[in-house]
Parts: sequence; structure tokens; C-alpha cells
Amino acid sequence: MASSTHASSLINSDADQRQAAPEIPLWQRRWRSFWGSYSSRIGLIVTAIIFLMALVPTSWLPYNPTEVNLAIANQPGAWAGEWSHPLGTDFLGRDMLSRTIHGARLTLIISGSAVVLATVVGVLLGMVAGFYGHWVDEFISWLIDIQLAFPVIVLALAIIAILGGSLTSLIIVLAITSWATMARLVRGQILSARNEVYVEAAEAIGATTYSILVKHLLPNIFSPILAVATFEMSRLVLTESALSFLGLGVAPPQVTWGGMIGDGRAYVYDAWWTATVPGLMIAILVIAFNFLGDGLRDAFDPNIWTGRK
Amino acid sequence: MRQYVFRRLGRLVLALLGVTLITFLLLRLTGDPARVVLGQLASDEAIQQFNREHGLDRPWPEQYVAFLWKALQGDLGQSLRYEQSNFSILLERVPATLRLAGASLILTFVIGLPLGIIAALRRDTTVDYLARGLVLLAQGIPNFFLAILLILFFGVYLGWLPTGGSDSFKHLILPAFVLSFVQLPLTVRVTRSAVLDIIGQSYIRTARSKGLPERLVLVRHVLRNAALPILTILGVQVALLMSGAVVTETVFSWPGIGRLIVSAILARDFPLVQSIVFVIAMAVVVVNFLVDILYGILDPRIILN
Repeated sequence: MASSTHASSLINSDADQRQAAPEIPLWQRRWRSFWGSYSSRIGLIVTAIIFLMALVPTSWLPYNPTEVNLAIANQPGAWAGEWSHPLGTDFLGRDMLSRTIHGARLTLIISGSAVVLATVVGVLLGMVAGFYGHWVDEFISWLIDIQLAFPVIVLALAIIAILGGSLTSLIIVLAITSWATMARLVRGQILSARNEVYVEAAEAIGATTYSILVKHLLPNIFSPILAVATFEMSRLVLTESALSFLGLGVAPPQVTWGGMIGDGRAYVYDAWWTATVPGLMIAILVIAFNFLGDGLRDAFDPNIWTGRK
Repeated sequence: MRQYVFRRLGRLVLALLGVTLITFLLLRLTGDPARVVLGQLASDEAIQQFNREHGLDRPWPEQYVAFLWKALQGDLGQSLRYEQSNFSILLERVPATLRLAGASLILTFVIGLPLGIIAALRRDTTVDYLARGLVLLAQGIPNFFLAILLILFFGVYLGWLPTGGSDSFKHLILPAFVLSFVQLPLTVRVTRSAVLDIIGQSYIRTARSKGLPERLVLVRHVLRNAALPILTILGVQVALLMSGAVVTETVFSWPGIGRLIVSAILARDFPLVQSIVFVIAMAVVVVNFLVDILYGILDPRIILN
């Protein structure tokens, strides 16, 4: 165990070794690791395409995604030779292709906002718990334990029953089901980083608690936070779709993929495409996010660069 | 050991208190219970009398203690819709959920454990890629969507299996399979990484070099040690299982508490919602406690730390 007096010499020898290695900037090495893997490449490209879908203005869509035309309800698409609506229409005669493209927007906005909210809360609480320890840690760990005792869907259902189903309440509910995972991760990371030499050094030169937490600890635990946030986002897309399916998602005329499956559920025997198209989109999005998360985790994993792996 | 059990018991009590407090508050946040029961048109006197009768005019810490005391005696209040006690409604519905959850847990372990073990032993072969592909697929497909696809294929197209209900063993097959798909990714991943971790240890090399047959190395050294991390996820599985049960039971019209909570919420039967959430959260907390204890028995290192 190195005492703090030896810390500087340790850091120097570490730096010397790094000097000896070929000079490639850190970000470039990370990018190479990320892009070098087929799965993360696919994950990034697919995610980018879905983001682009979300950005398509409503006026560019072939049809108005909420325009009802009962005359062509549940009409099959290109597979039946109907090229006017290539992905068919739903039970109200709305164009499935337009709805699928348009639905990407709210699907991403809801799960994205919820992940950001959950990450902010989870990181804050996790850092405070891991850094201060004692009763603060006991209390926050207690909150995490209780949160994890409530099954996600069950809790979300109960809260939506109270708040009512709106866009905001959906985002809040999803964030509530997600903050504890993040808090637990960050708490563990801070606990193990707390006794690192660089924290000790920062404390020795009189850095404030705030600056230690934000400038020294946060950047060092950034990569696992990013990876977990990506995985959580894919989980929240699934949760949102399950809630929509149960009839507790966003209210029409707002379009999400989960809501589209919910709409199509009753017509699945007559018009399989109405539930299948959005179902496939959700599966593709979730798998792409998982690829992305795997790739990010590997690219940021310090063990890869120190040769320990 | 005793100290370890007591510490865990302390945590169990704290967690139970937290869980009951949250469920208690859930119902208070839904608005004035008297208004919910008596309707918006009820007179002020009627409301006051209702509050007096149900102790709702007391300060709420006192109400919470009363709620706890009643819950301990199995009194979870009255359902608004069924005009029955919540406890008796739950008693009717819980066995169906247990049957479904039990069947899907068995299925998960029967599929997941061997798959995870083989994937680890035959790392980077076709089996491993297949296992990883399955994990990916199971993670990506929304389980209600999988349920719809299976109903369409086995129920409607082939006509082999019923599309809903719970009358016979045949009715159990599709829902149990769908529910086990929710838990497969975690089970396969944890098993695979646990086994991978262990076969890299030096005691495995020792066992092999002393000439122990591979089968015995696997059973005595690898699987025994891999059992610990797999056991740990059992607590998480229960929570996953209940979330999955809500959706699965709804799709397959399975008469368990998962479907009950959805219909209770749609009918705004808040006392019933509260008691379902209460029972489920209690179950998760208690299972986690039992897993902790079992873990302590199986791995003495935990207690020493």
C-alpha cells in the first residue's frame, strides 16, 4: 500500500510508462475501439437513423399521421400490392408509414427526458451517499432498497393512476423507476474512487468538496454512467411501450410506438401489421441501444488501455 | 452468523417500514378517500361522518400506525368496486399468479442455466453466439409483442394452444414461456459470466492438473461456486417477474394479481391498488431477505466481512 508521500513518485513512473507508448490521443483511441466493433458500429448507425426519423418535419411525411380515413381502415400495404400506403393503414385508416416515422419522435423524447432526469437525480444522490458515508449513505441506500422493492410496471401503474396519464407524468414515472439503478452504480464507483491518490492529492492542496466531486470524481466515473444511461434508455423505451400497451401511455392523438401497438392489439387477427411494425421498431431501437451501450463501455474501459484485459 | 442474521433482519424491518409508508402515501395522494367512495355530490356532513368512522380525521402519522396495525392482522381495507375485503380478493387471485410465476421460473432455469454454462465453456463458438443472440433478442422484444406473435402463430395459425384463459395445463404454456423470456437475458448473462470468471481461477487449474475428470471439475468446483452469483439475482428476478406478470396476464387473460391491478387502476379502485402494491413489494423484500440469509449460509466469507 503506497502512502501519500510516495504518491508523487508513483504518478511519475506511471506517466513515464505512458510516454513510452505510441502517442495517440485518448479520444482517438476510444473512437477506434468503438468503431472497430461491428456491433457498436451497427448500434450507432441504427440509432442515428431513428434520430433522423424523429427529426423529419410532419409536413414532409407522405400523409398526416393523425388523419383519419375510415374508408381505408386496416388496409394492407406493399405486400398486398397497395403502394399508396406501403406499410398499410391502422384501424382508423391512418397511414402506418407516416405514424411509424412520426412515432420515433415522442418515443425518443419520453425515454430520453426520463433518462436525463433519472441520471441527474441518481448521480447526485449516489455521489452524496458515496462521498459522505455514515447516516447520509444509510438513508440514501435505504431509499434505493425501497425503490428496488417495487416492480417497475406495478409502481409506474400506481403513480400514473394518481398523476393521470400525460406526457409529463409519463416522463416523471419513468424517471422514478430508473434513478435507483444509477444511484447505486454511482455510489459504488465513488466508494471505490474515494481513496484514490488523486482524491487524496486534491484534498491535500485544499480543494473544496464541490470541486473534488465535480472536477475530480465525476470525470472519472463518467464512462460507466454513460454506458448505464444507454442501457436504461433502452429499458425505458420498453417500459413506456408496456404502459402504452396497457392503455396508460400518452393520450391520442399523440403517437408513440408503444401506443401504436396498443391500438393494433385489438385488430391483430385482421391486420397483423398494425402491431407488428411498431413492435419491430421498438425491438430494433432497443437492440441498437444495447449495442451502443456495449461499445461505449468497452471504449471507455480503462482496463483495455493498461493491458490488464 | 447470528449477528449477520440480526443485521439483515434490521434491514428487513427498515425496508418493510419504507415499503408500507410508500404504499400508505400512494393512497393518500389519490385525493380524498371519502370523495372517492361517496362521490362528488356527497354532503359535507356525510363526508365528515365517513372520515370520523374510518379514522381519517386523525393526524396522518396516527393513521399510518393504524394502517400498519390492521395490515399486520391481514386487514387491507375494502375494495370500492367488489364490495369485498381486499384481502379475500387477493387470496382468490394470488394462486394463479404463483402458478404462472413458478412455471416460468422453472422454465427460465431449465433453459437459462444450461445455456449460460455451455456458452461459457464453449466461449466464442456457435453455441456461445447463439446464446448471446438469444439474450439480445429477449432483451429487445417487448414481451407483450412476443405474446401477440405467439398467440397469432400457435393459437390462431396452427391452432395448437389456447389464446387465453387458465383452465388447463395447455393454457399455461404460452404465458409461462413469454414470462420466462423476460428473465432469460439476466439469467443467461449472469450464469455465463459467473462460469467464465470461475474457470479462469487457479483452483480450477489445480483440480484439472491433479487429474480430476472434467465432469467432476464442472460439478464440484465450477457449478458450486457459480451458484452464488446466480442466487443473488433471484431477488431481482422476483421484481422482474411481477412486472412481467402484469403485462403477460393482461394479454393472456390470466386471472392473477397482475391483471387485477390493471383493472383496479382503470376502475380507480385505489384501496385495491394499494393492497396489491403492498403485497407485491412485501414479497420482493422478503425474498431478498431470504436470499441474503441463504447467501450467508452458502458463503461464509460474506459473514466475516
